[in-house]
Amino acid sequence: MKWLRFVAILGLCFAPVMAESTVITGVRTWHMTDGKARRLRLIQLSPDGKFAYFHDGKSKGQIPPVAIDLLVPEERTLLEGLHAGTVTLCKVKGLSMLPNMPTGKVPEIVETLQAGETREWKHANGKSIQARLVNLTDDDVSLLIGDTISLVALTDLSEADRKHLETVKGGNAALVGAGPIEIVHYGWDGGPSHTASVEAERFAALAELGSGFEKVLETALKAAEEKLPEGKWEFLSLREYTCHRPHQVKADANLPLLYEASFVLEPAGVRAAREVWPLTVTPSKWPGDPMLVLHLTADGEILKVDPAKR
Amino acid sequence: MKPLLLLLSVISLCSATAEEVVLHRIHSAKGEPWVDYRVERAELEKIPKWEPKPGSKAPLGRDQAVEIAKRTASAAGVGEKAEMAVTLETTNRYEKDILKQLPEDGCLWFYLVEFLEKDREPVFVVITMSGAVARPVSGGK
Repeated sequence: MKWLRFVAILGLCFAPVMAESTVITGVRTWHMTDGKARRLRLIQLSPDGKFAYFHDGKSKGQIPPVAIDLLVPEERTLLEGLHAGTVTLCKVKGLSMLPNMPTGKVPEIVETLQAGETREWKHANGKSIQARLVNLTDDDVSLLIGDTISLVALTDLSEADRKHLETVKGGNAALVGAGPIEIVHYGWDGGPSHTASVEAERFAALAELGSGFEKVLETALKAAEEKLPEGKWEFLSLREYTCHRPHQVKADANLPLLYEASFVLEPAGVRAAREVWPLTVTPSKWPGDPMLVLHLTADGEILKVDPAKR
Repeated sequence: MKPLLLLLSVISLCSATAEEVVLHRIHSAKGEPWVDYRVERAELEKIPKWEPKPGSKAPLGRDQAVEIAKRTASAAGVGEKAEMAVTLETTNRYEKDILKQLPEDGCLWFYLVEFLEKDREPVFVVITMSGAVARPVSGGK
């Protein structure tokens, strides 16, 4: 039995070393011993561990260092753990950890965010939603559903969700741009240009598809046949190319194949095409024959385009 | 560009005969001579007239064309990881002199496969609907 005792003692000696450190975002409501509280993001500790540097989440929001002795005992212990190395501050690139993430419909903010993949989140009350993580703090998460951000307390999430968040904090979950990904930016010389975008999940799905050349050709020709007057248009070409790499997409991620179907139009064809695809017909001052371009994906979707932002 | 063009020409030279016609012309934006892609007239006549229409399958599929183009490009030193663009098109409607010499009964649609590699001129391979590779010939300006 002696060797068993030896192993047990050895285990006890190494237990603190082997234990995984707790990862925190450092974003929470910090409480002072004088009763004041403020929602801040912990940036770092001073080298001696006696002072904490915080940010309030606004520009130029770094506030003077705070002596950790002024914090309530529970939070002081946490910071002592951070200094000792048993607690780690999360530093995942791209993961938003704002003290005060807005909620509701905020498309202008969503466009700037990185988000996790869409997954099912379970509320403690049994309800579940399909959403993407857009902000994480030590006591809540901001979830994106469509273009709406909702705040959910960590205590209201299921065990599986909390485990997932640990993975996120460990930097082991993919984060991509939360807003749509621009995949087409097309312009006529001297004329208006247009863009087409898809959601990140659609982008990833398209990147997994092989060539859809024949299917795309069929779709483009059928669309022209249905929408344009007979004999007033002529199919010119179908070009298959690899989408440029958008900035939100990782350097090693697959890229989708995209398609450009071009048609030459007679005046009656131009009028009809402008009704259906107003942004992808050559402008009226175009020097050559009027043309129509349709942008398609490998699964045969004709992409909806928007005017390009200048 | 020129040595590559020469190599591509040599690769396709075995199929060259007196009865060649120009199927496609690529103009250079840099003031260099254009490049004509020439094929045997018989290759175009081999496939009956075809035009892309809903429900009408191309005589040569995109995958077959790409396979042929990759073999040709590989022989010309193009790497396997080169980015590729594939275009189904026909002879430019404004190239009247080219259109004049083309057969009336043949299939004038072809695949233009473009290989793009970093720090290298793009390599173009023109494949007819019969699967023949057009021979690039440097033309005028």
